[in-house]
Amino acid sequence: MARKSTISLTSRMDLVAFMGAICLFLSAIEYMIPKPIPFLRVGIANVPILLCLDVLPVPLLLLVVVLKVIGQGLIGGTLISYVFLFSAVGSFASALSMLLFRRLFAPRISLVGVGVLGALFSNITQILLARVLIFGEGAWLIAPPFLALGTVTATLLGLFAERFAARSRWLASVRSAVAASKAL
Amino acid sequence: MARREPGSALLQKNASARVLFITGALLFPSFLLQQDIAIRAMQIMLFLLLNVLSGRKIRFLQYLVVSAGIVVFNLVIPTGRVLVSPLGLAVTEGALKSGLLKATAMTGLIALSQFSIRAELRFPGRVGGLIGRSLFYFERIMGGRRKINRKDIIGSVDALLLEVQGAGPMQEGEENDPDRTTPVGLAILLVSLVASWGAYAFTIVHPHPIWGG
Repeated sequence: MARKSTISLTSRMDLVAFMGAICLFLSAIEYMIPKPIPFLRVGIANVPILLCLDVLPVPLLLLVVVLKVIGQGLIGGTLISYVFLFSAVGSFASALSMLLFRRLFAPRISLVGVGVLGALFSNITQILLARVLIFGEGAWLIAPPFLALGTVTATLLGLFAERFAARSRWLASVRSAVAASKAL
Repeated sequence: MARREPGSALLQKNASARVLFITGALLFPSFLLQQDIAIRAMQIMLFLLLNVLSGRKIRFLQYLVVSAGIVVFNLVIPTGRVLVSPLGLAVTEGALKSGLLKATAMTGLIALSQFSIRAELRFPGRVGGLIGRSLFYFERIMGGRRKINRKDIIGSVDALLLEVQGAGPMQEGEENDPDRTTPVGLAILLVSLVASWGAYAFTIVHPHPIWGG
């Protein structure tokens, strides 16, 4: 197995593309999980965004979100459907809220807390969108289970992200490369 | 990375990702502008047929559950005359039509999108290049997914990411962007466009909806 002590992704765009690829890989895993509503997601693909919060500058982090959203649309074949719209709105609401809370309250807020807040913001914006586009007033009926499920999965994913961030040699190499590179 | 061979389905062999995307983009307004639920249902059948021709697996159960869910949620707010009242729930005409229009929009756009969007689709420009690079790394990670060990998920995922990253960045010419549209593929897509836009023209010339509108 090829193990290099230094990061070989030389440009920052390669790093962004690589992070986007991890999101897509996790999206592909998520795609295999059966769901009653197509835009209902466990949110596994948000783990790289959580991990990048302290590593990448804001513009690059948002670029990773763009790659995640478009890539999910390409792989799932949902690029020109409402599903894409829900994915885009939810992903940006989640990423922006996680960024805000992490920047405001770190180190007092853990990745679990940030992840749960991100999930709440993502789910609330998706429910509002569903009210306008699909369900009408009936959207409020799905809000409680949708928010509850989102909180549970975000807690589990946050715990996973905390453990991964603590153990990962790959993430450590990315962190040190980003810190060492003035180009980033 | 080796070029991916086209699949065996008719549209996989005879239409490039770019031509399918353009067809999807052209079909999109003809579907969304259509307000006649019966004609919309026929358009969905057309999109599902194109999915079959593209080798996509159709998840009928998912389509049905999604549609039923949307209709039921729309019935919560009654509008118009009461059609039936099963189990004390008033099914009103306005709410039913609204629910069916939204359900057909949702499922139809998923069906349309799924046949017209392929993972090998590439966009021009810098963002397009970035998406291509991301999909390149994605395929590398997918190629090593069997190395992920359920008993040590964090350790094995970490090793896989180190390995893929260590293999280096994408080189020129490694993107997979085949262009293989044949007259057969083009004919199928043109017939679909004419059928879908023809149906829309019919509802303009004949403004009495079969149902809905």
